[in-house]
Amino acid sequence: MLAYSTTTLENLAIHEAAEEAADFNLISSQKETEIKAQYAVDLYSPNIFVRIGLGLLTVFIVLASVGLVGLMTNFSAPVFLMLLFAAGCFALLSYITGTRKHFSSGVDHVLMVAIIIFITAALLQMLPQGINDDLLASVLVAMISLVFFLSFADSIMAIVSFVAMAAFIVNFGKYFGTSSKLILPFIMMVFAAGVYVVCRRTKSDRKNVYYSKGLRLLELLSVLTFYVAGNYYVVNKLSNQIIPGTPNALLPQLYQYFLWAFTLVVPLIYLAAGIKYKDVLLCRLGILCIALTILTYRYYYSILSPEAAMLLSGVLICIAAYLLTRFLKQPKAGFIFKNLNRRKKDTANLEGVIIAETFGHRQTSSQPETTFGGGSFGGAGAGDRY
Amino acid sequence: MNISLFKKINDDGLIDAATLHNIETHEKTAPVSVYSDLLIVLYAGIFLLTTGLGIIIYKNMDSIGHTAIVIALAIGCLGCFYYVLQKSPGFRLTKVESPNVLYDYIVLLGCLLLLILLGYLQVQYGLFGNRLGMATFVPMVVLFVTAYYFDHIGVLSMAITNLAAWVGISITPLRLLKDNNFNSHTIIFSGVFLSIVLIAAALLSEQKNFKKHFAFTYKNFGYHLFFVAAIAAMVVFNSLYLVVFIFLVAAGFFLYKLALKSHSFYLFVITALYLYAALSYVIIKNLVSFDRQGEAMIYLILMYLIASAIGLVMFIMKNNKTIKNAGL
Repeated sequence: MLAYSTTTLENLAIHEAAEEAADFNLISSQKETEIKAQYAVDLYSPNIFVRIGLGLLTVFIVLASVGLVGLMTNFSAPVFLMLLFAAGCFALLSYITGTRKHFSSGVDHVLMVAIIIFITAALLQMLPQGINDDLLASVLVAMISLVFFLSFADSIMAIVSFVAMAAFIVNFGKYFGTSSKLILPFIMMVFAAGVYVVCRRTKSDRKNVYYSKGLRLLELLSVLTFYVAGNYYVVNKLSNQIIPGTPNALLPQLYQYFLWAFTLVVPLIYLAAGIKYKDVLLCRLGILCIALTILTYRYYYSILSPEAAMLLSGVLICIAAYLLTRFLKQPKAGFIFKNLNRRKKDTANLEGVIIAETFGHRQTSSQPETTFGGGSFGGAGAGDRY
Repeated sequence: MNISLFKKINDDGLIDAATLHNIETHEKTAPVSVYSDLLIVLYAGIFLLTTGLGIIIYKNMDSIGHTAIVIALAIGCLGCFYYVLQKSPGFRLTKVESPNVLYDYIVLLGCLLLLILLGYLQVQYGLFGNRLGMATFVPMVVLFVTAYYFDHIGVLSMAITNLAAWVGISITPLRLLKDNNFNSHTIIFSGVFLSIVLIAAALLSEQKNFKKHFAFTYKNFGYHLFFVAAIAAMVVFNSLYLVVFIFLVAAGFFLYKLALKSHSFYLFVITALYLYAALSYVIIKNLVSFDRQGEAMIYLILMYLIASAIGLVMFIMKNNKTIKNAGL
């Protein structure tokens, strides 16, 4: 039921593998070109900026079309209109993926999201009042996006589907009131663990090579979800918001201990597993979770003022990172601090933009009386200096 | 890497068994690089450090003691610059590789500490008195000199941000629209003027081979600033909007050619989107003035938007194929 020919998708994976091998100097650039010529790919998958641009324009086109057709019909039959648009978007999606061979071009992502929104909204409109909207919506979104993931190998749809399934579990928990508060985290954990196992099992199969990116994302998302589901803050605070009408009862003491232990230990396990299996992404997730744990702890037991904590953590992070760069000069435990990529993509420009955004306007905050726009320009006569 | 794919390539006879074996060994035994990870962590550390320090000084100005703060900041700052001066291979017109990993970060840290120090001296002691222009001018010069001498694109971005602040504009992409009041005529004029200066700086650095790799940073700021200021000019100088539009299209065409020449998808896409916004503004404005009340006008506008957006999608896709080997 794939929309693309499996050969093409497999060839695309071969291209990526060949590029990576060439990056590490395992095959020559000439060989890479040869391989790419042999396994032809006729798909249109542009650069990320083009993708964003095309995606934005597609949003624009869909919205303007809805406005136009809606005005013509005076919005008299909204359900019919939405189903019509879902069908229209689907026809367009089939055309651009089938005939025009778009694959992750930005246009296809937006059309898929549009179809999901139109169908879900239309069905919610059709059904009588009194039905649990959230529950139904999350099921619908999860199912449609799963079908899209499987038939278009679209990684974004994999994420949408996962999030919708998690939302379904949370919505389902609402029915059970207070008791679900205790059980919900565990159900979520089981769900995350289940997705993780399925992804690990299916990923290594060569038949599923075109899903490998989506499966990898799902794997990481499930690892993160597993931690978040048992995080002390999330369970305590958010469950009160998600499940309204229940008394803000204190959780049993034992349960609280368990949550704290979970919050503290799981990130360390992630990090350790990441190091053991040489999985950089898992390491990154582990460090992210450690940061979340520190924030959680600080929320309940505030030791330092925020700015002192920032300064101290900044100093510690710099020292730790520096020591690691020294320590990993020679490979240790399968990790190394060295730019192994032969054809390093130049990220210095991007770095510059990010530095300007994060550090750039620093000086303005420490000069309260300098008012930009008015004072520093006109008042100081700086303009005459040219 | 997926070994099964290489097995397939091997079966098809494109790589020999030895290469396949190499790849398998690499996959199993080669160490994983945490190069970019640690660099990002270092950035995060410096960000936290300087932000925290800035807030602490700001909050505790009276209790810590002014002299102590100034001395501590000055020592930190001097220490950073002393270290990098010792290590620096000296000024060169071309790209200079950093002598070690920490080097770039120490340059950045030194600059950030310097900014905190100068800001503090201005607030507490009125270092530049009432000449507030000087309070941004001096750091700007220091940042530019540092960026060029130590070859640091991040510091260059900060210097350009400071240059813009000196002229009176917030320039970083996220703040461009948020912090500036583009109703003000001065901002529009200085915006257009500054953007021309920035683009010229980019072109000159490429042509004269003077820190060629700095060109993109100038272009990035220049493009955004030019288009936002020029589109604002069309709206504000209502009676002259056609003149401004012609100017914008002419300059836009030049920038479009420049983006293609720079092999930059990023610059190409933003040019296309900004020009589209300008064109749509003119067309919708005319459609509205053509028929003020009628419903037909709304239909026309919507049809225009749909047709033109489809046209732009096709234009971008067609051009996309002509840009090869593109970077940012």
